[in-house]
Amino acid sequence: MSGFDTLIYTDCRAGQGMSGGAGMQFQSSSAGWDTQAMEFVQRNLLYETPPRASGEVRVAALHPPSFGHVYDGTLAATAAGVYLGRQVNGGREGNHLTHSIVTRDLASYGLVRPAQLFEAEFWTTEPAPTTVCPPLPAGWRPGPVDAVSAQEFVHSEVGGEAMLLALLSELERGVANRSRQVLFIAAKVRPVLSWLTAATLLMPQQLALRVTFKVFTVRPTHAGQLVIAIHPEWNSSAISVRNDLGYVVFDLVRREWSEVEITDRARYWVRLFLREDDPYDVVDAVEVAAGSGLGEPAARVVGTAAVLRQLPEPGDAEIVVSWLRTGPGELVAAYGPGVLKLFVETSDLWSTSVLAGLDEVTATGRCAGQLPAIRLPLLQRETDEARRGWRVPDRQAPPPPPAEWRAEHDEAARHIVMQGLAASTPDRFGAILQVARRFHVDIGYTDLGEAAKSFINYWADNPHAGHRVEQLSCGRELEGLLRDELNRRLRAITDPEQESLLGLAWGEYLESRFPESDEPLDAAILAAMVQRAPDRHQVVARYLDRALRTRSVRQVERTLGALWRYTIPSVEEARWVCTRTRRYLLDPAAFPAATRRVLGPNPYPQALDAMHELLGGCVVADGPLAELMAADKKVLEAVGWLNKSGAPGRFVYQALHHLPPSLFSARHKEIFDALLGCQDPSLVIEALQAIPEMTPELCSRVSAVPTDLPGHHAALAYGLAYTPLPAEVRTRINEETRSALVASVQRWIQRAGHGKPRRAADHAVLLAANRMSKEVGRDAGERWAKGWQRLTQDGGERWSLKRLRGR
Amino acid sequence: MHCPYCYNRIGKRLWFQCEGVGTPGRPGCQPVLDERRAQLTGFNQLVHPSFPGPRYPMWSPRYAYCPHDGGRTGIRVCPECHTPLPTYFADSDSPMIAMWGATGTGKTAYLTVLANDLRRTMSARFDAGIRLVAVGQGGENSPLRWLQDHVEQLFTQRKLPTGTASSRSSNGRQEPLVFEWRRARNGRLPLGSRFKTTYLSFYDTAGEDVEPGQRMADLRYLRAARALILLLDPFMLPEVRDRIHVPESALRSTSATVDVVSELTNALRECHGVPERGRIGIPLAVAFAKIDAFFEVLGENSSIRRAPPLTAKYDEREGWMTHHQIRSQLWEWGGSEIDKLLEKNFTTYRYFAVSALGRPPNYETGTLREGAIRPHRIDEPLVWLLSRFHMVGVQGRRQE
Repeated sequence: MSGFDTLIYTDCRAGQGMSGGAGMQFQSSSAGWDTQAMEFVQRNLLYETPPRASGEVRVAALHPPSFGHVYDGTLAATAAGVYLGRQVNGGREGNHLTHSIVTRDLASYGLVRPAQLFEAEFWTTEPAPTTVCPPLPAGWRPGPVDAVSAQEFVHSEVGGEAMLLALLSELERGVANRSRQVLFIAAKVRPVLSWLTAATLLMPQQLALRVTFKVFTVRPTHAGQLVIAIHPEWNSSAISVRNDLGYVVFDLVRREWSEVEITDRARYWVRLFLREDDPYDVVDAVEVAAGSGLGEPAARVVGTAAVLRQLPEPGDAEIVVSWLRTGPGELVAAYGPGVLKLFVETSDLWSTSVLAGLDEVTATGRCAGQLPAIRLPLLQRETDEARRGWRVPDRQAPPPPPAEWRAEHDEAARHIVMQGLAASTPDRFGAILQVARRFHVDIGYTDLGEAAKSFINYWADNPHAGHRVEQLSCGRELEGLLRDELNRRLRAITDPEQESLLGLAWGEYLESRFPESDEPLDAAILAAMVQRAPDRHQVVARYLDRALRTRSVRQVERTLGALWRYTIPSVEEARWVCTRTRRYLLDPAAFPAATRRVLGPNPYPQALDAMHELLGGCVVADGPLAELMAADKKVLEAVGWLNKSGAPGRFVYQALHHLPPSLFSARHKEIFDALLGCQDPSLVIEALQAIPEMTPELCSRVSAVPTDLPGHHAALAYGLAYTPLPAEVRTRINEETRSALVASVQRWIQRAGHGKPRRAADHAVLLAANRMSKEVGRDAGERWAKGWQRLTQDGGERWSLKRLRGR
Repeated sequence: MHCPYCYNRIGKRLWFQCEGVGTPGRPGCQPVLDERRAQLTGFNQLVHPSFPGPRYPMWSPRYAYCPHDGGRTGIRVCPECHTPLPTYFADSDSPMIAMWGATGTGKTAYLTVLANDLRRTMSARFDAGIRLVAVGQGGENSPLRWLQDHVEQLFTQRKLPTGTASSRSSNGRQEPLVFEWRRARNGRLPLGSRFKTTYLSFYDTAGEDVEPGQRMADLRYLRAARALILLLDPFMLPEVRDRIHVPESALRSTSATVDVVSELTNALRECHGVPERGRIGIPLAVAFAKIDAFFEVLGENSSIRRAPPLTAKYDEREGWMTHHQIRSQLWEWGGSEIDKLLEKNFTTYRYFAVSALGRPPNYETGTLREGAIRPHRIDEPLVWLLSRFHMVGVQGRRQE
C-alpha cells in the first residue's frame, strides 16, 4: 500500500455520487476516507472554474488543469483537477473533476516533492465506476519533472538562477514564519510547478511538504496556501510586481518578480544545484544536511562533504569531524566512510586537531576501516609538533581495535616515536613520550638507552617541566630513575630550607610513599604536602593512620616527624594527634618544627601552647625543653593570678623572677595585658619587682591618656608616683616619668569627680592597702590609703574652688 | 443588523480601518494579515489594521484617528470580521435577503436578471439611486465582478450560468450582492429634501448546500437574513410532468419540492429559535421559477401570464390575486402539501410566478434560444419584500 487514500470530486447524476443526490459532490473514495479528509480537500483543493472562462465558447481541453497541495500539520493532500465541460445533468457548462490523494503519514511521499506529482500517471480525469475506488497503489511514480529536468528548466529560463534564488529564499521564509504569500502569474500550470519543483528540491523533504500551493485559483484573496497561482486571462486579480498588495509576485508572463532578500542558504544550494552535473546529488546533500542535526551553515557543510564529496574549507573541517563524532548514527554509517576517505586522501591539508577528531571517530568504531591511515600520520604529526615544543593534548586516544590495528601498525608507530626521540633534545623527550603514551605506543625503558639519563637529569632540574608520570610511555620506570636522582640530591643537601623547596617542587608531581619508604624524597614530599595543602588535616590523618597501622613507635615517630617537619601544629591539631597516639610515648623529635621553634630564640605563644598540649598528651620531654615548658607554665600561672588580682605577691614575684629572655619575649604581651588588667596596684608593683624592665612601658601606658584611664589604672599611677617603691622599680622611673605620673593622677582626680571611675580607683587603692597591711605591715597599708585620701580631698577642693572662681 | 460578510450581529459602533497614510513624524501603518478577518471570512490579503471607533452615545462617528499612526480615516469596518462596510451601512436599515432553492431551480439566473433589472429599470421606476456596492472583500473578486461575469454570460454569450459552488468548497465562500438604495424622503415638515440610504444584500445559496438530507454547510447567513426568496422548480411538482413536456435535461434536482420547503422550514426554526407552537416571522416570498413553460397551459387570459403595470408602489390587490391563483394552481399540480406546510409554519408568505428568461432555454446545450431575454414578473417578490420593509409604498389595503 502506498499510504495514500484517494478521493474524486465531480458532478454526478442522482445515485452516482457518494451523497446519492445529483450535483457536485464526492463521487468516489477509497476505503480509508473520512469526513475530515473530505472537508480538507473540498475546502482547499477543488478545481476552480473561472466564471467568465466557463461561459466562453471554448473546448474543455483548453482549460488549464489545476494542481494543489495542502498540509495542516496532520493531514496532507495533493490533488489534480481538470475541467470537464458540461455538467452531467443538463447542458450547462462548469463541470470539473478533482482527483486527490490524502495521507496522514508524510513518509508516504518518500523523497518526492508534492510538485513532482504533477502529470503523474495515476491521476484520473474520469469518474470512478462506483462510489468506491482503490487507494493509490504501491509503486506509484511521480510525474516527469525530476531534478534533472528541473535543473534544465532553470537553465533554460532567462534569469533562471536569480528567480530560483528569490523563490527559494521566500519559500524558506514562508515555511518558517508565514509572512507573505507567494503569487505566480502564469498562463500554464507546468512552468509554475517546474519552479516549485526546483525550489522545493532544495528544501528538506519535511519542509517541502509544508510548502502548500494551489495552481490556479480564481480568488487569491481567499486562498490560504503559501503559494498560489493566478491565470492572467481570468482577471482574478490586478496584482502585479509593481502593485503586489502584500504578495511576493513572480510574473512568469512578463518574466519579472518582486524584490526578495536572498538567504545565504538559498544562495549556497542554488549555486550547487545549477552547477553540479548530477542534481540528484545536491538533493541528497540537502536531505543529509537537514538530517545532520546541525544548524545552518554547519549543516550544509556536512551535506556537501558527505554527498558531493567536496572538501570543506579548512575552517569548516572541524564541523564535519564533529558531525562524524556525534551525528545521527544512520547517516554517519551511510556517508561517514566516504567522508573519512576524502579526509585520508588529503590528510596533509588538515590540522592536527582535525586528524585527532578523525582518529577518535575511527577508533571508536563510528566509521571503521581507516584507523591506520589516520592514526599513523597523526602520530607523526604530533611527534613532530612535540619535538618543536608544541603542547601535547592531555586526552588519551581511544585504544585501537585489534581488528584494524595489527602488529605492523604497532611497529610503524614505534618507529615514528623512536625516530622522534632520536632527533629530540632532552627537554622535548618527555613530550614525545607523552605522545607515545597517548597513542598506546609501548616504548620500553631499555629502548631509550643513554638518552634516558639525560632526560632524567633534565627532569630532575626542571620539576615544573610539566611531565606527569602517568602520561609518559614507560613512565613508571622513568619515575624510579627520577626518584633515585632526587634522593641522591637530597642526601647531599644540608639546608632544611633547600629540602623544603625541593619537597614543595616535587610534591605536585610525585606521591609520597610514607611510611613504607625511608627515602628522604618521600619525607620531603610529605612535609611539603602538609605545608602546602589547604586541608592538611586530611593529609595528616591519612598518613598517620597508615603509620599507626604498623603499630611501630618508630614508624609513628618517623611519620609524625615528616608530617610536622616544617609545620607547627595548632593547639587543636596537637590535641587531635594526642588523641590518636595516646597509646604511645613519643619523643619531641616527632614534632621537629614545634620543638625547634620552642627552643629557638623566638618562640611564639601558639607554639608554646601546642607544645603544652603535646606534653600533656603523647610527648615526653626532658632537659632544656622540659625546663623551658615548666617556666612557661609558671608564667601562665602568674598571668592567671594577676588577672584574678588575688594571689600573694611573692608567688607572682617568684613565677616571673629569672624568666628566660626568649620566654619573656614570647609571653610579653600576655604579661603586660595581665598587669594592666590587675585591679590591685600593689600586686602589679610586686610583679614589676620581678620584671622591672616592663616598668617604663607600664608607666608610659598609665600616664599617656590620663583622662581616659580606668579607675584601677589611676590607682596604679598613684602607687607608682606617690608610694615608696622597691629599688628595682624605682630605678626604672626617672624624674620626668614620675612628674608625668603625678600630673596624670592629679588631672584624673580633677576630672573624675565622685563618679563610677573614682569609686573604681578607690576600690583598687583599698585592695592594695588591705594587701599591704597583711603582707608588709599596717603602716604600709595606711600610707597607701591616707595618701590617696589626701590627694583626692586636695584635688577635690581645688576642683571646687576652680569651679567657684569660674562662676 | 448583521454584517453581510461574516453574518455576525453588529451594533451601531463600528470599527475603522487605518488608511496607512500616517501623520507628520509618525509613519503610516503597514498592511498586515488580519487574523480575525481571515478566520471569519477567509480573506488572506494583507490589509491595514482596524481599530475601534470613538464611542458616542447617540450616533455612529463618520471618521476616527488611528491610534498607531494618528491618521484620519473614514473607512468603517465590521467590528467582528473587520471587512469594510458600505458608507452608511450602520446608519440605516439594511435588510439581508437570502435566496433558497434546490439545485437547478435557476437561482443564479434569477438573481443575475434581478440584479441587472435593479440597476437598469427599477432605479427610474422607484425614483431611487440604486447601485451595486463594490466594497467588502474588494478587488476583482467583488460581487460587481460576479455580476458583470454573469450578465455577460447570460445576455451576451447566451449561456445558462454554471452551478454555484458549495460554500464548503474553496471557491464557495459566497459574498452577497449589496445594493445601495438611496431615495428622497419627503417629510411633512418643510425641511427641504432629505435622503434615506438603505442597503439590500442578496445571498445566492448553492443548491448542493440545501439538498434535503445534506448536512448544510454554513447556514449562519440564514440567521442573518431578514427575508427570504424561496425559488421553487415547478418541474419537480408531482403532477406537472403529466401536463407539460419537461425534457429530462431540465430535471437537475432529485429532491421533491416539498422536501426543499421542509428543509428550509427546519433550518429557519433552528436558526431563529422558533418555539414549537409558534410560526416563523420573517417574510417569505415563494417564487415559482420557469413559469414561462406553463404559458401555453395557463392560457392567454391567466393573471399569472399577465404582467401588471409598473408603478412606483407595490400593487397589493394584484399581488394578492396572483397569490391566490398560484395557490389554487399549486393544489391543482399536486402541491397542496407545500401550501399547508407554509401556512402552518410562516406568518407572512406570498406566492409569485416568475421567469428570469421569459422563454425556456435549450437545456440540452445549456444555451438560450434566439430572441431577447424577457424577464417575467421577476421584480415582484423583491418589491413585495421591500414594501414589507417600508422601502416602497403600497397601493391598496394590505392583505394578509
